[in-house]
Amino acid sequence: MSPAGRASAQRPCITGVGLVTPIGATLDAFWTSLITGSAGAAPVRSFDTSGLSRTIGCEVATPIEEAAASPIPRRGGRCTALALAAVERALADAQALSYIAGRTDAAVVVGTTMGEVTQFEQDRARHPEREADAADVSTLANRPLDLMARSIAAVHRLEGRVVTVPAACAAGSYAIGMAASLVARGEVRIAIAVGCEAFSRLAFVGFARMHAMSADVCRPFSRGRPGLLLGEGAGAVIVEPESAARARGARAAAFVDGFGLSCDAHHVTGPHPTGAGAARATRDAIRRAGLDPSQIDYVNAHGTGTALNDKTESLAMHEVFGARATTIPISSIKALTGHMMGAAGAVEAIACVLALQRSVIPPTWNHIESDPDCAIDCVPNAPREAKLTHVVSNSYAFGGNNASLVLSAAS
Amino acid sequence: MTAWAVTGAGLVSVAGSSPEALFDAIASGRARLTRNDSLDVACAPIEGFDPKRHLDRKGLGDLSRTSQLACAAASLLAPALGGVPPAEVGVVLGTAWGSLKTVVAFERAAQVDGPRFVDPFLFAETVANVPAGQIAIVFGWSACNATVSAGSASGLSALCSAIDLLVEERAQVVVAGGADELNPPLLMAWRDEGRLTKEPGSLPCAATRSGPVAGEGACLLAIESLERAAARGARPLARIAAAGSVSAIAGTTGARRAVSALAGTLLQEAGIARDQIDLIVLSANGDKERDTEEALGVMEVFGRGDAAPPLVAPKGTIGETWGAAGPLAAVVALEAMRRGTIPASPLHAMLDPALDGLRFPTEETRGEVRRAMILDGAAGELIAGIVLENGGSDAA
Repeated sequence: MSPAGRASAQRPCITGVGLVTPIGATLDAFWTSLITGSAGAAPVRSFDTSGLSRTIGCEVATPIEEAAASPIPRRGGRCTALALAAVERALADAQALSYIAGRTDAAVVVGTTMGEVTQFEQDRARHPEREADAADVSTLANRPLDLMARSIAAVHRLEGRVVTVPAACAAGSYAIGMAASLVARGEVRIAIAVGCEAFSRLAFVGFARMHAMSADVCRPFSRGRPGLLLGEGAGAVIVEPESAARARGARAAAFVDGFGLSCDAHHVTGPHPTGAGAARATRDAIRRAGLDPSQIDYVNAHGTGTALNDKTESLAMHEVFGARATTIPISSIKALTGHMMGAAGAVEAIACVLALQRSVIPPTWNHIESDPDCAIDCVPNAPREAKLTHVVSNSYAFGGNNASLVLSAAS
Repeated sequence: MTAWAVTGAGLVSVAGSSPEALFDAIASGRARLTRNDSLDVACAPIEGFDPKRHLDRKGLGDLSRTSQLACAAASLLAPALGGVPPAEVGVVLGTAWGSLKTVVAFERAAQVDGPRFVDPFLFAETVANVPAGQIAIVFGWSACNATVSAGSASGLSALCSAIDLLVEERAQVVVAGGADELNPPLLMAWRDEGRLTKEPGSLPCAATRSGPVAGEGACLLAIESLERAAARGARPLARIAAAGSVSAIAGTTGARRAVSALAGTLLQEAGIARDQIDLIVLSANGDKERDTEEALGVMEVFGRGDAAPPLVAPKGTIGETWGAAGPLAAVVALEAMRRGTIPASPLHAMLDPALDGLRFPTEETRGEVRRAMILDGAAGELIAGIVLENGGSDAA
């Protein structure tokens, strides 16, 4: 990664972004929702919720067929369609659709949690009374975890490095960070980084059973917060070396200056109680950006809205920012989007890019009352104008996987 | 430029849980492929695998088989990391499938028992990055943790990602490799589609091959810089002279061209000529097209017959183990280097005439095995490869 403020031909810049989310499938619609508080929460439509303890989720309302211009490859399902749609928009935004086609020095890095598991669920729902048989399972066995990456490579005829990082709820940040690293090391001329997730019954039941889900509203960092809402979507960013982008006349929307990683090595689903692993990832990202924590203007939190995540993330931010942790803006957009799992990190990075460009911090909506366990400025319920130069985006996942990105303004 | 070394290996396979046992099984020519009569398909399960033999830890029975295999392999590798603080060790695990069996079991439990009665721990094990997370939890390896997925190239892709992480100084040592489990759902689905053979005698590149035999396993390698290995007194098993991957997905690149392009790139990166490769470990698994494309790609670069390096096709012994396959193949190469032996292969006598020119040795060859190339992957997927160089410390 190329440190911010240091001239480098390989400094990775974002030249295009695209997304499909529960709160908008265009950048303008998405941003308007972020600053007006338009949430994507609604009764679940993807499957029958009777008998389930929870019924609300954040699904993408736009028909995916409309969102994706390219035909979906034969085995692709909803997750592939979401990913392809986001990629097309990002490539269009970067004016790189023809530039990238057929390149051998282009990479695809895709993050996801469950991949195409929804196809299997739909097959199974047709005859719930009997055990899964080969016909059902073939939908899974024909849709390996790297199907989305393969599909993107096939549609855009890419012959370079193709990577799938199923890093669960941090996968989107992993994808962007790994893509930026490939660019920074000079291994590729352009990279597509994607986080994608389709709304799955499996995840819905799983999080409900873990008592991690809210019955109605997601209230990150608020006292008595009831838990997360699940979401779906995809976010894609195009990453190029600054020099290469400039050479082809592309405009840098932001820079990816830092990518921090750590592992809790503590518990498979729960965060480390002190937030130590999360703090390490954020510190690592800031250090790799060549910055000091005092130079960070805003943190886009993982902020799922669960009691434990928000508390430990707050502790982690105190560890990183010290006394400044109570004053630096730290907000979560998951109150509106829900937790898009594999897509979350990518979509939240795009929210950061828009915040950098528009000098506005998207707030944490649905906030009712401050929680002493979360002694941070979570930018409650109202957007805030601010000159932003360097921002952090945090993502945490099962397996104790922690990832943080440092994104910097283009000008 | 930093040189990267393999300083340890841990594995669980149908042919045993040590490099020696794996190599002996291949050298003996005795395949470990069997039939599952109830499912009417050939397969290579690790019979009697019990993670408790490897790990003294509560709750192992709750883990998916993929997690169990991965943790068992890690336990066999862990002694090689003596002196390295756990916080300086990263993990990269390649897996093609995660745990399909757990996904199916969870869905089944939610349907039959009801969503309120499913085991939340089972849910966690449906998530593909959890096996790598379990390794981190068991051994405290917390520098960084990643999972990569790329079909049968998953394991070699994990080794490539491990080098990326080391280049970026994210860990002192990265434990990298892959794991995949054999399970009835996958067997049934692939059997019904004709993508697996029913014949345990379906051997890679053989004229009579009728498809791959599904296997399982886990294999992890410790990777670090030669400099750091020397500083902690670790003996390098080999130097990683080159590592990379190419996409054979787009259709414009046939697998044959992708294999030859990758092999050429690896030779270039290693700074060696084709006649400096002493052994090639193939990805061939009994799939008609896959074996042919790989063989033709290899022959395009290395030539035919005695002019070409000798070949080994481990999947003829242990089956297609997906995420574990590439790292297991690397262990075969490491063991060949250690012993100075290239095993004879029964495949020479049954070679597909269309692949005439492939050099499967007719008898065991003794002599220095200085460098080996390991390939894995197929058309429609990623094809990954590495070059290992014997005597890592000398090669520095």
